Amino acid sequence: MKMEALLIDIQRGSLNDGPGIRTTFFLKGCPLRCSWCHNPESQKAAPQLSFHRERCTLCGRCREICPARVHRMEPDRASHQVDFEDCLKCGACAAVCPTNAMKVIGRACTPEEAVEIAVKDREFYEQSGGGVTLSGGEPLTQPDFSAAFLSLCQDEMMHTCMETSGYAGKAAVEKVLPYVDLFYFDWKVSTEELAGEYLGVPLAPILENLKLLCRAGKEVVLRCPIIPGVNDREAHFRKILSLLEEFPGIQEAQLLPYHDFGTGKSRNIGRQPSVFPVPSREEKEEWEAWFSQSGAAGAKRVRLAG
Amino acid sequence: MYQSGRLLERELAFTECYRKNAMEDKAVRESRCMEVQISTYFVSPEEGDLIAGRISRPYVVFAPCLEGDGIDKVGYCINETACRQLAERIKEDASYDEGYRLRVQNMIDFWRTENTNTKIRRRFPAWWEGSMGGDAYNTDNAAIHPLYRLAGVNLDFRKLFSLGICGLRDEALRYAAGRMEQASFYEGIAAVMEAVRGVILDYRKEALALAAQANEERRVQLMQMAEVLENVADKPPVTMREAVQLQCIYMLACRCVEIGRIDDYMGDFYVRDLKAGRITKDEAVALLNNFFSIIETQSGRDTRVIIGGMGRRSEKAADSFAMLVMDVLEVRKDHFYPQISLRFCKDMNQAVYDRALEIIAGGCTFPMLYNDDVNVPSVMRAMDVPRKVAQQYSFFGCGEYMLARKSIGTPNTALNVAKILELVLHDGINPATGRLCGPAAAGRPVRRLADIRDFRELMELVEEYLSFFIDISGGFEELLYDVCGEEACFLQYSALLDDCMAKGKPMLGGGLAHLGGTVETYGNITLADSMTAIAHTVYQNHTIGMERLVEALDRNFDGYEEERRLLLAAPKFGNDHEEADAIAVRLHEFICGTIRNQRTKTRMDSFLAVIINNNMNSTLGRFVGATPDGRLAGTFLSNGVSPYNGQDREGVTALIRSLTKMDTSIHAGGNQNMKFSPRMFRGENPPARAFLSVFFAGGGQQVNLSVVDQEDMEDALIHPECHENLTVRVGGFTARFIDLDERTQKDVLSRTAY
Repeated sequence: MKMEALLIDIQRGSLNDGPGIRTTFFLKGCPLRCSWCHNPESQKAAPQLSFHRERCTLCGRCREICPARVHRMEPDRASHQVDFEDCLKCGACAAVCPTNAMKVIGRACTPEEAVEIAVKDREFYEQSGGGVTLSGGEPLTQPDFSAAFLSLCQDEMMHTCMETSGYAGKAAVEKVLPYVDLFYFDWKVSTEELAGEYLGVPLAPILENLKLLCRAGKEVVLRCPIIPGVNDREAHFRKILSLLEEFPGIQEAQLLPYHDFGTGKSRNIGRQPSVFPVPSREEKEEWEAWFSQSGAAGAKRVRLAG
Repeated sequence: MYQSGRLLERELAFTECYRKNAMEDKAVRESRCMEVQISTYFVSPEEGDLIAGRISRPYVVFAPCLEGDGIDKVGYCINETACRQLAERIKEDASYDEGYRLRVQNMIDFWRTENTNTKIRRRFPAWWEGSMGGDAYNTDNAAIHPLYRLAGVNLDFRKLFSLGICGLRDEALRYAAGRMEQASFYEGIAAVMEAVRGVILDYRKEALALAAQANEERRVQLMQMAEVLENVADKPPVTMREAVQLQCIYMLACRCVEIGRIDDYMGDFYVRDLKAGRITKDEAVALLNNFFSIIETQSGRDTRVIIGGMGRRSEKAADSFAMLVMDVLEVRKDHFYPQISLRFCKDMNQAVYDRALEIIAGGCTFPMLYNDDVNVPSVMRAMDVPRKVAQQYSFFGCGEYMLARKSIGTPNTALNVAKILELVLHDGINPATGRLCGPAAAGRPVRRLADIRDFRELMELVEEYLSFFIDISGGFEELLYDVCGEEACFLQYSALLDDCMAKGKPMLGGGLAHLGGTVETYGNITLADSMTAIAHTVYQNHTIGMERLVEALDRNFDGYEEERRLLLAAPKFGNDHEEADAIAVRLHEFICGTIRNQRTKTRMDSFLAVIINNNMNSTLGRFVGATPDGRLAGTFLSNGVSPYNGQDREGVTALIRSLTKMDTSIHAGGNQNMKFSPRMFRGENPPARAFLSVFFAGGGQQVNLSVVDQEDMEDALIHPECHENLTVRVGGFTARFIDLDERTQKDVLSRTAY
């Protein structure tokens, strides 16, 4: 059987998904349902329609061509509603839309095809200490593809990084383990209660997998989105410090202040976004100050990023 | 120095001198006119000047390039609009008598036919009729426009410094004594040198007079100025102050605007002075800053300072001077001329390159970066010259390459290749004017669009039209050189350009070691993307018929939104897309190669394309209807060899891959614009550095970097007052973002930011 992954996007020349200049492959499908998700289109493990309302000129072509009649317009064409649930993802509307307001997100890609794209920028990786990053979505939901692709990357002597929420079965983690040079591992909340409320999954397996990686001696960077009102609290910050203490193998913990760029994308796929307050510069400085004043040894490895 | 007197009196004196010498040999006539011009041209130093040399602007001059009446002029020039305005004032002013008014009127009438531009235009061959555009490229709708000028001459300042002004005069007189048949050329040079010496002596007198009335601090400056002037009037310069002073007056006297490789010819002076305690670094910064300011205000247009690179004689001293120039740059951040440019290569002192990146990271668009590891071999091939000569390549204006001391390379035509496609799609009829242009207008048989059966045939037809217009380009360049050579010797230039003195020939009369020329091409990537879109929609996918495509273009896609969508969806250059890039490369090679081949059709040693851009891509875009790449009528064309605005969507690595596919060894300069956000320069190993090193290692020859936040530019549109210092690279020049016209602001804003 042909091994294929469902990709949302490939970003060449990326500077935010690991060290140096990288090519990042975003896989589609994630078991988590983080309320603040900034890539909401990555959650569903199947193709889906995205509708960019600002671009719509209400021309009505999509309505004419749609076999499932998901595009509804008022008789006077004053507004355009999409019944996302009924969409067949056939792409017919996207093909006729004159302003590209519609697109079907999710395209199939084999490990070989992905590597072909990755090697194009090898010189940039070499010059900058960069490489290839597998992100998502959650790449551990597609462990066969992930392992195959990253193994090919290593054969090509390219540095590999995986961005993961850490929520997966042990087998999946073990499968990719040998082929990942660096894990960007999310640490979002520190209690089961908050995990249930905001992530929609339990925390325990995530912690287990973090331990597994650290014990295996892998390079790990903790990625900690800080969401005002949710986890900008001492208890969470203390847990980050204690993880750094427990696992000296964690290179650093990066604090990623919440931003609301994902809310527009939520609306595009027919979902109501949860909105959190965007932290001010003062708040971010307070977080930093808290860590530096904590006196903990691990505080030196905490860095404000993003 | 000249004190302002009666309106147009200098112009009248110049004109009378010209008429009196009309029958004389052109060298005699020119030297006598130059004597009048030089003696009435220079005005007092400004307060705070450390160097003597300021000029006022007369409206009738002999010059390699004069801006007037909205265009460029060459040779014997008149700014007719300005003269007419002054004539009106004279008419209303009772202090001028009727005789004076008549003389002014006669003068304007005389130059109307006697100016060099008109003499050139009169000699256009009949087959250009209909195809060659008018002189006013700003308002005239055409595919090609003549540009009258000789620009970018990099003089041999080392020779000026080693002989001094008297030495140059004496050299010419020695030659004159031995070569009777060329005596007037040599004597002309000697006379002009003497006129320059006269200015130096006049300035000395004035500096002494001013010193007598100045406060203590200024008095010291002026006394030093007088001493420097006294020394360079009779002897070659010994110190950096003397060298800069002499260079400044020499350049202003002949309206030369190119400072060129200053670290190469000035480095030794600086290092010697430093060692001897004759100058401090701060004093040298102040001196250079003053020199640059004078050239900036007096030239009124592009001037270049070039530092670094291969082929400098004493590299260590030159590097010290290059660092000094960058210190000057830091105190001149809000000045955009001269355009300071760094040539660098692998074997060079990395500290110089590092310093440049540090300045750029701070939001300065200078120094501009030129990669000698690519440029030197490219120049060798493009101009067919040995390595040693190619190492002396230089560039001017928006980045046209030429050979310092050996060639000129002025672009004398502007070729709008996007417009040429529009003509092809309308069987040679310019839709804006209804006039027939191109091969058919010259009576040549050419296929009609309706007879084209496939993409290959269409490409051939486009190439046939391009060839036709390129022939006009080459022909015009040669004609301009012919007429300018018949009219004048450009004595002050010929004295400092290789081979002219030894041969006894003026620069355009066989003197120049290398007669080069260039043509500015515009909309190259718009053309390429358009051809790719046609290949996709008309010939491969059959989604749009050719007739319907032309209809859609003629209606500016109004009612043809579906067609526009399909055209926009076709691949575009700049995304490392195989097909789109291949078509761009093919057209690039055809255009550059065909232009280069003009050297076999003309007497030029080289004739090359420059795909450089000021904001002419925006000016000329106004005259081009909708194009098949999906671009709307009247909007800007692509800039340089960069992707069309916002069409590079695959990231900066893909952009660099695409850019480096274009052969750099077949043209004389191509602008590559990159817009980086400040974050690219942050951190210990800033990504910008890695991007640039891959770009340069992969064949990138040059880059125009703007380090700006996109949000800053957007905000500047709403709150211009908060962004006075926001500077951007437009193409061939730098500007304050808020000073740009709206069209150009939109152009820059819509380029992809990384």
